[in-house]
Amino acid sequence: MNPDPGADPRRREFDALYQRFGREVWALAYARWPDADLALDVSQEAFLRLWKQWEAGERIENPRAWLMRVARNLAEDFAKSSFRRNGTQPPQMLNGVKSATKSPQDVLEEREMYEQIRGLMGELAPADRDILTLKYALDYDAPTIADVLHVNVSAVHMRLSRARQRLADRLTQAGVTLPP
Amino acid sequence: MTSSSPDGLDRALTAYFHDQVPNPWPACRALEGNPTPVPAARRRNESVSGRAILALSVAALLGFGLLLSSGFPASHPAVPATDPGVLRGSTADGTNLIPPPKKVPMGDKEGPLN
Repeated sequence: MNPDPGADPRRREFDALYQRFGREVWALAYARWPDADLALDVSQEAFLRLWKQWEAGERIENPRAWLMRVARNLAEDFAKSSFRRNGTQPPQMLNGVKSATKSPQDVLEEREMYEQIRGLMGELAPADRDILTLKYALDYDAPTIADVLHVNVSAVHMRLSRARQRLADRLTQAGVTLPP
Repeated sequence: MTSSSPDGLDRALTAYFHDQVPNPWPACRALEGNPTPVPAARRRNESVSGRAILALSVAALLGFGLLLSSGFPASHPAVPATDPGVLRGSTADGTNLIPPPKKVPMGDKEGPLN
């Protein structure tokens, strides 16, 4: 799925940046607004803006931090404008879950559970969503999460434990049934 | 089974988030539709050469026009034979400017109004 960056070293360098940090940017956008397609659009837009900066000859000292900041801002701007238009839930909330090769009954139950998780995730604080997304979407370990969020490792363990507990409490309150 | 099981929660969250992450990871759109960025210095050189080409084109057009205009001799002299501004046969005091009207001999009959 890689576009051919060609022989141009700038394109190769940029593509390497995209391959290295693209999922992180997606994850932070997703943590702000739990919609996979929207998060992808946001992350692509962040990289497009970075490319334009390069075109303009601007030097970005820390492209990873720059991308994270731009993606967060874009996702939060979208969340605010979408909230004004649609209230607390995005209109695509109920039809954004992908299907899989499972029995219709399994797919239905899984979809229902995912929607419940997604709805409850939306009720958590952004910091909780950040850490849960990095942990479970990207399978990052504590030191890597600490690096992304600029906190120390012990803080990651503490925050992750609390975020999981808050989500578990909400799931219990909502009577969500999880698979064994 | 409710969400109280930590393992169950971990599995559910892992399954949920892995379902959400785009797979396969798509190509970078910024590199798909955009040309390679050109360094600012090279862009400046290109704009200078563009201006030089434009100046050469204008000069060639003017030269060609000049060549055409000199290649065709005028069929009439551009400058009149007499002094311009003075009517032929006129004098400085204004006489002979307009020749006197000729007298037309009248016939026996009166005009049609009489």
